[in-house]
Amino acid sequence: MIAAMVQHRLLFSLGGLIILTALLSLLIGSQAIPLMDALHESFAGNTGIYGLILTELRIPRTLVALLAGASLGLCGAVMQSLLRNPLASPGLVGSASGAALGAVITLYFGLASLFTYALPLGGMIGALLATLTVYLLAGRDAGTLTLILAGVAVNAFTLALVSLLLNLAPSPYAVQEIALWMLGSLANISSNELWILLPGTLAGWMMIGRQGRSLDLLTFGEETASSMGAELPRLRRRLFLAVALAIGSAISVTGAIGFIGLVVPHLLRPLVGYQPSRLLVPSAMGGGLLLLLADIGVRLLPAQGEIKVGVVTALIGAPFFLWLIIQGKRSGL
Amino acid sequence: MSAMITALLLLLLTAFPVMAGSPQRVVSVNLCSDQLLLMLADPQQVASVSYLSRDQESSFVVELAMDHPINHAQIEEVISSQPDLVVTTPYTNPRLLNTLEKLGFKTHRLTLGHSVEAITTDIRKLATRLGQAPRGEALIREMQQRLQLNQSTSLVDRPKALFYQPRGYTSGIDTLQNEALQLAGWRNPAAEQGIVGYVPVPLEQIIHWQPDTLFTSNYGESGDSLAERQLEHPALKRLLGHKPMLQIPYKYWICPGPMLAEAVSMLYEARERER
Repeated sequence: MIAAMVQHRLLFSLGGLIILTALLSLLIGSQAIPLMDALHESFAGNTGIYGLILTELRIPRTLVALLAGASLGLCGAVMQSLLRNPLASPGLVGSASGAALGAVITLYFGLASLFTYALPLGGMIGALLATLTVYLLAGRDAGTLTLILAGVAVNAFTLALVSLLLNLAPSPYAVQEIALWMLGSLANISSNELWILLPGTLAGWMMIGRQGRSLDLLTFGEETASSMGAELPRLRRRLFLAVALAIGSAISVTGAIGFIGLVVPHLLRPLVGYQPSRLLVPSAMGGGLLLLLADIGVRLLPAQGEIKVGVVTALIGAPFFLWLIIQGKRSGL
Repeated sequence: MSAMITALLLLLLTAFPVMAGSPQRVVSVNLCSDQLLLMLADPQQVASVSYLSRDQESSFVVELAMDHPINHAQIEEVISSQPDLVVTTPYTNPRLLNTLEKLGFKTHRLTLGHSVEAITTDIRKLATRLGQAPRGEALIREMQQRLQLNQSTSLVDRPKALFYQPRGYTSGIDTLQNEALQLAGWRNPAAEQGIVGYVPVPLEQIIHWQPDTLFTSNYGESGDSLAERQLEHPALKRLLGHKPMLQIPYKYWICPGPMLAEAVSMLYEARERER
């Protein structure tokens, strides 16, 4: 099985890169910290400043970047396979902006302070509603163009609502957080955010797990897939819900980070032999890796305050998107 | 002939105070100038003040402002009250300022510098312009006395304090907060590091400075926002050993004025508790 060997090699190299990048991420920040001292302080349990910076700032931030990035990459792969559309991704089919809208409603209008999980719950509901709207607008077997147009409309509408609500929110700081919700940021993430993010993310991943075979069948077309035993309506419901859980949790903590869900599955697809089931895990790993790298980039850029991480992912992602369009034109799609 | 000269002289003498005398219809278009104007002028000298002077959250002169018409720093409002003096600030919209000057209205510009010295100068100049010099001197004296009461001149043994606001802003050199911290006997590591003005700094930097206390001030009614949640970061709580951050109302920091002395006394009391 050459394919399996290639797959293993891919997973191992991605895993290795993730470990290296995560270590790098613990070393890089606005303050230079000696890692050995920091580790020593962390394990000794005293509140030295290096230990504090490592355990309360850098570790949660690194983990949130990996988890949120993984959800974005994974859900991008799932959406592209499910809708059999190379441009489907959380950013384009409305999940991300819907999640941002849901999170904004719960956070700024007092619901999030009622109980901890109100925030990700709002994100999940928002993601689900926006995605369903795009799906219903575009229709089941939508062409690329229809899907994109529906996505553009729903994204524009939800982001306009985000902006409007932040202007109306009681907090005087809300208005200045528009950029954060539209571009995404990992600045000042704490372990609180990690716990908020975790349950929905894991639940979403588990629901996606083992659906790979059905997604493989879908590559033959919906009718063939049904005749070969895929229960399509159930599959669709399950995956839409899973994407909403994972993306809603991620976006309600980080804001709408674009392009990872689009770019990562595309980059990896040739490496896994165009087989959806083999694409899922590498896409998750690649998404986590890419977001973490982008976040390290943000921390290295010299700027007063921090550049939003979504700026960096868009700087990488947008040219790639253009390249996709040009490729599509050439091959006459 | 001599009678005519006497009459002319008399006319001149009586006319002089009216011509070069104190303005009687003063308009202020900014909260900072509202506050100084209402503290210094006779009520009948004031034609209108800005709407912010009635805002409980930011103004120290709400009661006084209730007796006067308000404006929104719009050119038509200002002109229609026929002012003989408009008090402006460096932040006044330059278009408003240009138009006023083009139309021949007199203006008096406050410097709004962030030091006791600048505050004293602003009070003295405005008081003189309003023909209320003694009231100005009294206000300055009162502020100085209050400051001396709560001033720490010792340069040794100063604990470290930082201002940390929602969105991660801290106050460096040339801010009211820094001036107040120094006067009350605190060290401000941000200013010592050469940070100028009011700038956002990373949380890691705050932790690295290891302040003994953090001061903060929410603007207006606090709601829920990511900016405000940032102050709840577990790293900050551990840094301060679960002592609460100290709130100094935001209105003390919006405008330079005699209220700085009150802010200094709050910071001084906090320092006394810290020792």
